Amino acid sequence: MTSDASPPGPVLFVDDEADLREAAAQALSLAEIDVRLCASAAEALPHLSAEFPGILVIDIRMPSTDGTALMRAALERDARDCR
Amino acid sequence: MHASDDTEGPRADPHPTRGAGLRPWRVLWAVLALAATLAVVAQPRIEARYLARAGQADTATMRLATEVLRGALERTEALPALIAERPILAQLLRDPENEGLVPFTNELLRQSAFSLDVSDIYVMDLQGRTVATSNYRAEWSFLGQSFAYRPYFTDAISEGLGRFHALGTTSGQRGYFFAAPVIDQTELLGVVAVKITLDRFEETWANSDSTILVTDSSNVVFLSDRADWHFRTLGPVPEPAIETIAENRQYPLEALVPLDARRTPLDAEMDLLTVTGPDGTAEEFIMQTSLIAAPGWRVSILTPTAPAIAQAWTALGIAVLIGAVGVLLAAVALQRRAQLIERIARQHSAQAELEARVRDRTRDLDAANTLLRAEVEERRATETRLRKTQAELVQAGKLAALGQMSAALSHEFNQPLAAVKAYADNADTFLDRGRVAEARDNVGRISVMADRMAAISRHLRNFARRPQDKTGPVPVAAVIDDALELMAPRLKASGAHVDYGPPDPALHVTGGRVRLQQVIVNLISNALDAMEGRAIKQIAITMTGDGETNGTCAITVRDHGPGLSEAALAQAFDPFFTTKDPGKGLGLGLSISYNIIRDFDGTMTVANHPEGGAAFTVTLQRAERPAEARDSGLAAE
Repeated sequence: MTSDASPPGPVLFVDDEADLREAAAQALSLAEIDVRLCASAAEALPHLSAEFPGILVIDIRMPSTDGTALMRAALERDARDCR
Repeated sequence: MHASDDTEGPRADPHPTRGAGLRPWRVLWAVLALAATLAVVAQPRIEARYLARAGQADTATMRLATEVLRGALERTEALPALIAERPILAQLLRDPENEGLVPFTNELLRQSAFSLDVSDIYVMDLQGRTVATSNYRAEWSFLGQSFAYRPYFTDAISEGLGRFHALGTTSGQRGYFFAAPVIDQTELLGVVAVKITLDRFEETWANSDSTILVTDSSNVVFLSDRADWHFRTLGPVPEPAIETIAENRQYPLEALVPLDARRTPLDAEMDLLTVTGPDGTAEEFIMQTSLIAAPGWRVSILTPTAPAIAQAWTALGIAVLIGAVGVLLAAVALQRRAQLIERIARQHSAQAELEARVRDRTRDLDAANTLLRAEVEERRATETRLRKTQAELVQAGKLAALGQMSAALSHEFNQPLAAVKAYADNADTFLDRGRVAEARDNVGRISVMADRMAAISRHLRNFARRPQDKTGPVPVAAVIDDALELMAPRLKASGAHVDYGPPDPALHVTGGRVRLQQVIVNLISNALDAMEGRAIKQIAITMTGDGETNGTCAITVRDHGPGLSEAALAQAFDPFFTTKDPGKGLGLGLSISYNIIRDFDGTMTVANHPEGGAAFTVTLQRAERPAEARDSGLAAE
């Protein structure tokens, strides 16, 4: 939890499809859940910190690094940070 | 050897020809030999026949001569007895010295001889002395001569009739003598003799070619138209006969030389007589003989054999000639026939051979034909099968491509569907909360996405549909656009970049739009496969012929993959050839594409790009842009 910029949302949404990201953002906003949108794994990686408390929603089939790789990286980082 | 071989070389089989050529000659010689043998065997018979005929021709002559002679003798035979009855003879014999009676009697006898046509008439006393004669005028007159030595004198006295033939010792003429006694009142006073000369008969005989001779019982030739044979002997003269001849002074003994004659029997009536002359020349005659009993004469006619033999030879020659001509004609006929038969046989065999050869050739030809027909049939069937298989493969390839794409496609459809679902749900919530503008915005997004999905769906349908498309002008730009659209999900998923500058929409090539699109899709798909896992993922689509109106247009799709090995370059278009891992492809895509392009009368080649990667080039005929065609849209399909 940091005080700088906007408060970190609970959901990090990673998808290469712009429409899906937009729709997800709408739905989560309507549910008053904070959401952060990323178009690729590379874009999402900087957000994956030990402080990130929320939920990761990752599209599996994405160009370049696919969803599973991103998830594996997130789990790895989470396990290391939680130790 | 070689020469004969050479000359006979062209002939298939020289033997029949040679045989046919010689056989008639052989036959001819054989027949001639046979004819000669027959001639030799037959000649004696023929000759004998001709001799007999010649002899028969002379038989009548001989009979005539015999009868004339016999008639003359018989006529004369009675004369001495008739003359002896004249009284004056007795008177003269009783008074032989009477000067008046002798001349008178002589003249009387002369006239009688003349009228009786006899040679001489003379009267002898009992001592045989001639007291009166018809030839009293002749120098060699019988008057005063004694003929007591003659048998006719003694016979006349002892037997009443005397007959004799002899060479006249006084006259030198051959004569026949008849004698009769002059009897007066049972008193024997003398003998009257009548002589006829026989020389005149010979004169008539001389007219004939044949020789007539008269031999007496002593085998002495007494009469003959051949003077040199007079008094010659034919056969042995018995010793007592010679003595008698000498006694009677019948013939001059020194003349009795045997003729060198050989006699062989010819048949029952004729003999063959060969007489060899003093100079050694032999004469041959057919001899026939008849008998005149009273004087014991044998009248023979000798017919020369030479003409008969010549006739026989001529006849034989003619017969042989006729035979030879006949044989020759027969031989010629036989040869002709043999040649004809041979020619027919040869023609038959040639025909048979020809037929056999034709049959052989035809059989081969038939077999070849049948084989060819079978091959053509098989080939046609194979082609049909191939076309069918190819069509099936095209379809299968498309299905395979579809299958390959299905994952990407489902992702591609699911994403917008999920988005649509979310937008719709959100719109519903926006409306609940009175946020109409946002709801409307969402509906707009949904509409756009539906359009997008419809587009994808349409591309898919076109791709999967069996090609019914006709070959014609196809807009290159539209086809490539469609292909890229179709491949967009995969391109995006793989992160590959397509380097492509769309050509003039007017650029058209000859082909089928759907099938060409299928080829381009296949090439892009292959390019993506080749670049999987590689750092640089770039596809370059270039083309030549842009902006031109004729010639060809070459579309090249180049990837940045590992390129193809030399073996792979050679087999790239072979069916079921693939460099992909098992399960990733059937290896049919390029083969199908290749055949599609070929169907468009185009070519498809592959090469490694000098800067790496493979480059597939499709070359098609440029086509006029159809007037009604538009530069975009799939309506043409």
